[in-house]
Amino acid sequence: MKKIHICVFVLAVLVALSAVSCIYPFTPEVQDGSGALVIEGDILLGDYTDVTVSYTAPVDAQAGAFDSPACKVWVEDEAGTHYEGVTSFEREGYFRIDTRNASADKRYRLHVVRLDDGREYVSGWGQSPVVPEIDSLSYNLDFERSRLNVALSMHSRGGSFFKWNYVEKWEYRADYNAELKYIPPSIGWWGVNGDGNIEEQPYSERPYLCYDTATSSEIMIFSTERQTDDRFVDLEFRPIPRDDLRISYRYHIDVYLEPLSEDAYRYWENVKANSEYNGNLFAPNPSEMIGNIRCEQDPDEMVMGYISVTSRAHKALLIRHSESRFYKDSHPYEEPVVVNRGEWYQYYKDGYLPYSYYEVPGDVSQTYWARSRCVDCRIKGRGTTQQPEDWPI
Amino acid sequence: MKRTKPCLIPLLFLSLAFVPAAAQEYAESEAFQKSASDNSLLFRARQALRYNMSYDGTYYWYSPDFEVGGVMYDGRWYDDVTLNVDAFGKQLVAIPSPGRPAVEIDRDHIDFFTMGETRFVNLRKKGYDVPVGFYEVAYEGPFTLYRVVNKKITSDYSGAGMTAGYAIDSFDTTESYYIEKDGSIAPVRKRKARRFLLNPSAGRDPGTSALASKKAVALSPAVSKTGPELRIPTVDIPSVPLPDPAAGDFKIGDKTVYASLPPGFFSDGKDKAVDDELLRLINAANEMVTFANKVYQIGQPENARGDHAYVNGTVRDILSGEPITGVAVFDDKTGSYTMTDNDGGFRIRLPLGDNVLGFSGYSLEDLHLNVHVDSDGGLDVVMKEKVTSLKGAVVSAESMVNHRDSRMGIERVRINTINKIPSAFGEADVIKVVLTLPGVKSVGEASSGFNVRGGSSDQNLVLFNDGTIYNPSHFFGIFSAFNTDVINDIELYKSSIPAEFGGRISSVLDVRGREGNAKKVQGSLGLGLLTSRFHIEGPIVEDRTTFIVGGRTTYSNWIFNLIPENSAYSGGKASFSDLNASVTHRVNARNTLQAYAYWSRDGFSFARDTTFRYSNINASLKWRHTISERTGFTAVTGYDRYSNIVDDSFNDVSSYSLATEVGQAFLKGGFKTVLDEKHTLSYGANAIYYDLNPGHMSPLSSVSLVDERFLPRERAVESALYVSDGWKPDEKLSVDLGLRISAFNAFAPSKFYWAPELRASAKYSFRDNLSVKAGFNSMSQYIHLISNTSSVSPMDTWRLAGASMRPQEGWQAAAGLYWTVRDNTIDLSLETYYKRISRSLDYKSGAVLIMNENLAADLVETYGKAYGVELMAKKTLGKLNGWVSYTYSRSLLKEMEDRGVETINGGAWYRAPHDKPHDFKLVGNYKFTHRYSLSVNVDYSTGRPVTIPVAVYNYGGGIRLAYSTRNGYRIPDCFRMDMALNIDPGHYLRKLTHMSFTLGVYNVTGRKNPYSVYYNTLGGTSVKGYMVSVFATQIPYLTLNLKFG
Repeated sequence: MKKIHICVFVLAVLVALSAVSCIYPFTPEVQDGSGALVIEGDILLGDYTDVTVSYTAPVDAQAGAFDSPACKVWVEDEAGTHYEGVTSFEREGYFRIDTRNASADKRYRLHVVRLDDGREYVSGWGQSPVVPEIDSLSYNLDFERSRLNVALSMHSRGGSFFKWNYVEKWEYRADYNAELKYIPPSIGWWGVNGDGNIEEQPYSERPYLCYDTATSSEIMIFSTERQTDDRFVDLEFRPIPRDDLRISYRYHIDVYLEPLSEDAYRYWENVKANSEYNGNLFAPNPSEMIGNIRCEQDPDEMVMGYISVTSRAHKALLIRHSESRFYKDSHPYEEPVVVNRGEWYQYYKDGYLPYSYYEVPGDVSQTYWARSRCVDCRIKGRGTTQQPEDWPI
Repeated sequence: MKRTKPCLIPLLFLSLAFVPAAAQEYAESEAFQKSASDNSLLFRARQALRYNMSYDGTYYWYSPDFEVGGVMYDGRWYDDVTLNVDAFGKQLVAIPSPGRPAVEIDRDHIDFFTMGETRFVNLRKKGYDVPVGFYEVAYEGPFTLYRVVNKKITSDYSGAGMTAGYAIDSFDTTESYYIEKDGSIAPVRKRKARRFLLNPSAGRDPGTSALASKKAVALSPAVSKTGPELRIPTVDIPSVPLPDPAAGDFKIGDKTVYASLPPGFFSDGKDKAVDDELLRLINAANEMVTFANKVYQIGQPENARGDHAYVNGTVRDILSGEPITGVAVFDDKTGSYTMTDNDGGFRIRLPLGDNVLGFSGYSLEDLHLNVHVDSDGGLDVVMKEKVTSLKGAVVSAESMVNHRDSRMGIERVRINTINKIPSAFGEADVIKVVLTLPGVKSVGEASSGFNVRGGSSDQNLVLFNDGTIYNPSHFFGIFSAFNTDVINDIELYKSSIPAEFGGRISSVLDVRGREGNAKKVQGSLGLGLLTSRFHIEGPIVEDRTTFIVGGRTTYSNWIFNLIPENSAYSGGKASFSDLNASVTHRVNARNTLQAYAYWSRDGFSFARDTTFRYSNINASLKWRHTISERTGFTAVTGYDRYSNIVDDSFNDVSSYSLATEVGQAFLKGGFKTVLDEKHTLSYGANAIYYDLNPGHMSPLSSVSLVDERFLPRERAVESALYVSDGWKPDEKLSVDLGLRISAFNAFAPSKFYWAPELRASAKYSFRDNLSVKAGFNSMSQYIHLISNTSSVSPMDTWRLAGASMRPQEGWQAAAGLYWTVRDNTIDLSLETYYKRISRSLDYKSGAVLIMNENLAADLVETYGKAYGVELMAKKTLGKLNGWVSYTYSRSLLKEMEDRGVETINGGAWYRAPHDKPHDFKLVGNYKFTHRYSLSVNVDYSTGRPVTIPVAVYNYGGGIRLAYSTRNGYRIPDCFRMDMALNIDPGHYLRKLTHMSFTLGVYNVTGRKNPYSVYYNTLGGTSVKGYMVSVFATQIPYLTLNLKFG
């Protein structure tokens, strides 16, 4: 892990040294490496096992452009019991297998059969390692570097390799609770039709409070193989900048920690290193990714993915701004403006929105306007005003 | 017809005498005889002294240009002679015909002569008891005013006892004037004489009163009446028919012409040495001067055994008294040839009697010494730096070294060349210079380590004064570990590795430090953009004990203040320092002791989190002993240590310190014996005791949970015995055959390896300047650098071979063609090689390289294959010098074992990280004047191989990269040109300090050369490729060097 640090650092030094280095796009002609099968989804005992099957895509592919073959998926235990996967109709290549009743003392493996050519892919047998316990999920404030760090402490009674991921959910607010709503004019072929309208909007429709969610994309792994104890304390894994909306109001994080076998750990370490490889001469070179999935018909077929059999520990943390008082808006404060009727469309085009009557409630001839991101939380961040289901806060 | 033929014979004899010794060929002498024609009598003289011209003046009267004039010689007038006056030796020098060496016309016979419009009189012959020499007639009227130009050598001369070589000749000019009137002559004041001469008609008195003073000398009465008429005759001398020499000596006029030459005629140099007049002059200047055409007596006739003798000695620099390495010492007559060793020592076998011993070395002025060998003996020689003639090319025998030595693939660069090659940030750099040589590559512009002929960077043995440097770079490879102030020269063995070296399979880079000036204390200060350095050197006891100390440090932390404050790296620090010290003591003529120490330290850190430190320590003691004239012995013992430490404090509870270390104690002993003029034998033994700490991890803080753990220390002894014979059956063929038996004994668990290593090379010369060579050598390496990075990283650890890891082995076969053209000024060479390596280590995917007790299981052994052709043209002399080379080479690896789908690249050959097939390099230096020169460095190469993503996939919550086969792609080609203007100090010899400047631009064309490529998946939605160019624009720099002392 440190090597990666070195190289980024070296690069930074070199960049600083010369103050003349530059970075520019590089798009070489590469042989298309797309079309290899990628199977992801750890077999979670005592939980649902979610499996995705997709193809690798060309380097310039956008997110969501990963095709999936039609498949049949199941988990098999050593007694021969099958746990069948159910296809999700919303997400192609996504399967959910009910492994809630699978017991931890058996070995399991995953089967994927392609329906088009009948090829069968089988992962290696695996048994769940001892599930660690999360001791705490906490946060600390780093004023010097202007960030809030979420930190994890855990211990385990056996097993030295861990991976975790998180789901973040947060609420944030617009600066003004807009009682008014601007309806822009229609635009015909001859031009703008009038100046639009201002309407009062009911409390429930105001774009004041927004909900947003994100999942970890970074691979977070840790090994205690070199420690006296299989635990770690206050490992900071999620730095949130001080001006991040996440911590502006209410922030909730779910952390799922799972133990890994050493093989699986090395695989993830490799995926991580390969993805963070920055080409520096002092960085470890990318290496081959050998997972534990084999094609029954063709053992030499390259299949990406490593299927672990595991269970996970869970812990959640809620951080309220009212407690932490850490969030600092990086945008400078701007005085709201008073806009007369007739100037609406102009201000709208300039990125303003109305939020309140000026002096006389109900009189729209003069209204307070402010920057749209101060008025509409959906513009301020990327959240929605609809509270999602199972919102924990 | 019948008569003319015998007439030619005495002329032939005579003509032979005009040029020294035996070099004259019949045809040439005939041609010469024709051109010398009437003047041949005049030229029957010894060869003129050739002082080695320095930049400070000429020893000729006014200018070194010869002029046409006439000579009154014993009352006879000889016209149309090309003349000049040697104002130092007080001799009239004439060139018999163009291209001939100048001769001295016998002064005692010269009455007067003219050069152009100027007339010179030999006043002594006229009868005055005045100082010897010629007197230029400056004014003729009622009295005659003579001007005398005196040249005095104000020079330093190095060496005591029997030391031969050059003087530092700077000729100082003084003038004196004499007035002659009525048979009386007296010196006059210069000022008065000059004033008079400025305007003679003004009638100012030039000092006639002096004629009445005590200083006045009267014309000796005996000759006053019969003195020759000082008027130029207009009649031609009728040609005199030459009598038949077979009849014995004959007379022409009142002169005897000898039919045979008197004994000892050819060894004219001997006469010189006892030239009283010259010696008197030299002593007057209180200087000791030796000349190339003096004869040096070696040994005593009574000690002679057989018909050969061994001559040994040391070649030193005239100014500093430091030994010079790699000087070719040769005797053209017998073809005996040797090179001075690391300590400047040489030994050569010569036949008894007269020999001409040649000394030739890069950037040194060639030296030819006449030696008369009576028995075994010593000859210490001083040589000096060549002052490049601006008037034309100087021919050197240096180029011929290639045609004498059977070994190939050896590159030697001296420090003055190193200092001239432009580099980033203006810091002269040994490793950067090595990279300009053909066959040497690096993975990138800012990377540490270098690759020689397809080998990896841990396969280079880097020696600094016999100590092994495990990490030769500072600051991520931007600077090298060597302070150029204390370095004398470097030698890189790419192909023929002498049997005395071993332990690495690709190359040996031998960096040799200086001993320090034996004459006076001096030093230097250098100021650069990022570093400053100093050195001081001098005698502790003059000519016996010298010291040299040098150091460098950085003040680079300001750089880090440029890093944006919010970046993860703000607060980072990086620095390095190094220190060299050496003391050399010449115990006596046969024993020299040298103590040497080197220390370097590098440290860098991220913001708070992690610090990296590494350090090199070397210390050694060397004893050089001359057992006899035939045999020399060198012993070195020392200790080298390379250690690195990583402190990680990212998280208190898991904070740790990881230390690794390589320690080695070594002992080397070697003999060199000259068996006869055909065989030179080297033999000896080395032993290295290794003590490695492959990893020691300890908690960094009291709360840390990190377990203190040691990997078992690795200990082993590597030993070797070697013998090699340089065999020269004749002048055309020479063979070097060497055998080295290396053995490696690892302890706990014990494991023994041994291997015979063959070192062979042979040369055949078709002509003096055209040779072919071929060589083969095999090598073993018992230590591995464990790395998974493209360039050597300070995190990499060294591990010994042992029970689980086998040693690396390699062999190389090479052949070359060498051709020297254009009056031996341009060396053309073509070398080709094929190399195989086995059991070089690569890593498996997911390998854990640190603190891994079972490391071998994470590594794979590979085969290596490298081949290439190197073309080079090198010009070492003249205003324009440098080299240009083109290399085509490949370097491939292949896993030795088949591990199925996990095998790297499916078990097929894949490119090594430094496989860059096309490579063009140019290093040039053009001297405008002695002070100003322009250096250019051009480097083009194919882009290095990289492993880049060929696909992306969604995994673990984000987009991940799927990579191509190992090193399946290349980054774009690199091209760079650097230029530097060097301004050397003026030649004010007595000035205390000298300042030199280098004004340069790195990457003149501003080309954005790729350093690395990377792909960014941040945001998790798409992937973008980027290329980083480190030095993406012109980087100007200015370096100041202050020398004092």
